[in-house]
Amino acid sequence: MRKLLLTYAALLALLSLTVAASFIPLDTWSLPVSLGIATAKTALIMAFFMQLSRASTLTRVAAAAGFLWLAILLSLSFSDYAFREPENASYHSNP
Amino acid sequence: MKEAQNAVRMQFEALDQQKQADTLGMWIFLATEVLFFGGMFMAYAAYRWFNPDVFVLASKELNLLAGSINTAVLLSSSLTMALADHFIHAGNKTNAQRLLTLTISLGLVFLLIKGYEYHEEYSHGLIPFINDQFQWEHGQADRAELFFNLYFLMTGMHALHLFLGCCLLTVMLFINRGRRTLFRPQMRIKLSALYWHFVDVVWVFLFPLFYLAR
Repeated sequence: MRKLLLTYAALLALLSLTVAASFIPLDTWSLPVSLGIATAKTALIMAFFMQLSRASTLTRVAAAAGFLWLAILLSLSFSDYAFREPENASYHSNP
Repeated sequence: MKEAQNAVRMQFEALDQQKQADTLGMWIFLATEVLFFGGMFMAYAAYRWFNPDVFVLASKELNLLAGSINTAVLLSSSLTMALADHFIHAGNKTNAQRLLTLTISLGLVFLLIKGYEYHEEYSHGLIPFINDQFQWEHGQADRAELFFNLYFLMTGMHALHLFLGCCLLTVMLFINRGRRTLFRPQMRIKLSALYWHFVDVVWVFLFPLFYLAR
């Protein structure tokens, strides 16, 4: 039970941190920072609230599978979008 | 011990094996849910990639205070859910039932605050598919509409999941009431908790992407 309360305290601390960070002009780093904090929160929730820290390997693999396929979706899509020439990209950004 | 044996369904040899199978099944379902939301996250990522400035401007229109409070409410509901799971496995049904009620209440508080936000955005003319005239004065209005369409689609789907979570927990509350043995309730609460925490994880990403793009 102490572990659950500590996890909760850490989650609230990370929430304060991410809201505070959004007021600092970090420019291009703003998105990576907020996503990094969200990933840390997710790791805490999955490890302790969802009990993956003491789950069997099979359960952990099943939990990782969804994120693996999501990573494939994002990386293959951006292997196109990220390398488009600006004139092709403007097809999307200007009506 | 006899009760423990009765709790094992016919296709399993032992309670432990059944628990493993139940947990695995729930995680596979959650993986499909990751991909369900994943498609929408992909759409968000692509449109933000091509329209970074408009997304930042549009994000400033959302109510950051309400969003932050809602994040705290949802994280708290995850704690009470995890504690309910803890207590039912420790054999303390009274505490578990109380914590379940608290979890449902926090879920409803989240939905109320979300509803208040939707109303606020409606009165500001920011709902592209309901407001007759989308109110946007910063240029590239069609791109801003994209942001708000994604916002309402993704937070709406999340709210629907949360509402179903509240229904699920309410059912758990009632079917646990008359039970003296806790083998089945323990497993049901564990699986419901997994679903509840998953919905929390979705919000953990929605919050920075929509509210903190400023």
